[in-house]
Amino acid sequence: MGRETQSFEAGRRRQSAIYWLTECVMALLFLGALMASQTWSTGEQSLSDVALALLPVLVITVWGGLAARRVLTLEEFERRVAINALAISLLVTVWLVTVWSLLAQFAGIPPFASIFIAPLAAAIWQLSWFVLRARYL
Amino acid sequence: MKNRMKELRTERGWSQAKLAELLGVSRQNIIAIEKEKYDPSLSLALKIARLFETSVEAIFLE
Repeated sequence: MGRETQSFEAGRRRQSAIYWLTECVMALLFLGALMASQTWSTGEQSLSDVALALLPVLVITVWGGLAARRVLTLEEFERRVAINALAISLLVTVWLVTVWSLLAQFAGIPPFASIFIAPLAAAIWQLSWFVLRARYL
Repeated sequence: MKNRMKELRTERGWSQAKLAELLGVSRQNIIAIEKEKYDPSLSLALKIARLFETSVEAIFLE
């Protein structure tokens, strides 16, 4: 493999590493925001409580924006895999949440906390992305 | 869709990574096209044809 090709591949690997690092940082920020909301909110419907409750939303909005930006900068094959995986993850998430909600309503299992819908969808997206990519190769 | 990508690439002694670099796509893209699991977009097909100095129809067969 020539030096230029190696550097091209290294650049792609570096981009991928940065992406995964960003994902980990955003996941930690999301958890931190959730913990902050839980720890410091007083439940008094004050402005500060509203701000604390919306703190995870801010993180998730930035996280979603970064993910969308990454997908848009991918080359066509990777973008197609990412978008197919996103479609699958949305369907699977809706299915899982519906099943869980029905079981919670009629079979007495603990209700599904809606704050976990976005992380669940993100996890399924990454898993579908990995599986789809492997299927093409 | 059947294609002659691998044949044309090996004729020139290029690796999949080299071809990916020349086309500005990922190596996974080249692998998927060569395995005929993925059909490239029209713009990429034209780019491939230009690189191999032939027509799209000569590379991608029905």
